[in-house]
Amino acid sequence: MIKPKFKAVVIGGSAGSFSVVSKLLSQLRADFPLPVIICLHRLKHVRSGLVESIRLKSKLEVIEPNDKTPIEGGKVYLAPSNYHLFVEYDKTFSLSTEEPLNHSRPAIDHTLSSAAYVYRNKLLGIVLTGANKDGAKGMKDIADKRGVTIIQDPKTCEMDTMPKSVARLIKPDKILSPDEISNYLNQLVG
Amino acid sequence: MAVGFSISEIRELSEQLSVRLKLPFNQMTHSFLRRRLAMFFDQYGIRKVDQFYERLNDDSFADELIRFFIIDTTELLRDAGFWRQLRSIIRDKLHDKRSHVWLPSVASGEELYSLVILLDELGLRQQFKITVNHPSEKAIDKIKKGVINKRQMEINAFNYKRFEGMKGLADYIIESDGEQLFDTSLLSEVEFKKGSLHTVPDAPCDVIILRNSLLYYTKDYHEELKNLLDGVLVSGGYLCLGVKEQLPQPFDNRFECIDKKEKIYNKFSFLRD
Repeated sequence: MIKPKFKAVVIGGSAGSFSVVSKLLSQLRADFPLPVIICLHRLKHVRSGLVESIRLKSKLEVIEPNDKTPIEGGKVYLAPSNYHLFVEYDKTFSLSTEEPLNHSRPAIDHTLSSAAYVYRNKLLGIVLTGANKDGAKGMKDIADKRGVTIIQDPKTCEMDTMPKSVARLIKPDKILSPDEISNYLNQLVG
Repeated sequence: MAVGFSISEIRELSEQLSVRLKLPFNQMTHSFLRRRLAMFFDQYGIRKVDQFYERLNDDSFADELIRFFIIDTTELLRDAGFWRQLRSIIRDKLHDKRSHVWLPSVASGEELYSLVILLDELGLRQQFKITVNHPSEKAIDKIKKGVINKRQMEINAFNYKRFEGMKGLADYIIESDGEQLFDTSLLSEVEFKKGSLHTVPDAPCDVIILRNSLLYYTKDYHEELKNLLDGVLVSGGYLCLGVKEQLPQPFDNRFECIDKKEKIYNKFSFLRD
């Protein structure tokens, strides 16, 4: 296997993104070596169900991290409900009950921006279908640190506000359909 | 444009703040410090660190800063399942003795009001002494006045329903000058202490509720606090953390996790106090 040029993948999504994430994880290679950090808008008071559903189709282990959980390659991490999820310098997660951002907790911007700060140009950021602008600022932070940015092709989105908000703020490196995103991730690791 | 900080600036600021305000800013996680400082600078129109240090000499400004770094637990009866579980423990294990609960870090008071409502409904409010810490006098006054975040009322009522309370949330709210406030008569057995997590109560505790307050601190600081919490809690006492927090190893050798989902720990009763 060729050593990947990235150290982590971070994905944000909202309305309609559950099925896209499920499909993406089902198509990802079982030996995918990077941590995949996912922040989806979700119901605040439904603590269980989402991670279990995502687990059903994923070849990689899917975890809803606790505060201070170490980040490891080849695992998928899903932001828990009613907490923001941040990446720390020591490659652990931290959680927070700070005020919602873009009406959301977890907020995609927080996860993406903190990951950009830690992984810099070794980060791959992906924003999927969604109904608000959360994630746009985080993608700009990734682009500013010279990470790679991908948005789901708005034509394939259930709600295209989220990827279009990214495209209004930066020029994404790639605009891909869900199948193309899986293919792109798989070919990264040779 | 928000102010950005280098790693060394964050380090220097956290050390300075720890010394000046006598609170463990230097034990906060890097990402938390960075974003809260950036937000605070932005909110107060501060462009330079020197300007910030100068303004810290003003006590009310310093108090604003302290309150900005104590994060709300966000809503009344957050994680209703936890409060239902705690209600069962208190009803089954602590109902027949005078007990002491410590909340080492409350922000806006929701955890405290959740607890006193729970005790009131069990008819045990007078039997429980509660000690509450907050480093800001202003914040304590606000909690004592029963100030409610209006935007949270809908979610508070929803949580109360999920908590399966015996009354209605409205029974704990009073109107004063057109403003809705928590009924502060619920606080008759509560003692407020101006202080940090390190300001321990005078008497040992049967229950410590410290949910979601340690999220903003490093693992090293968790280690430091573990002995303090262990020392304050009686053998057989209960420690309640946030649902996504966990005890540092090997601290859990002294505790049994009796509810993994709600993160309720029971200190082994054979241990010496």
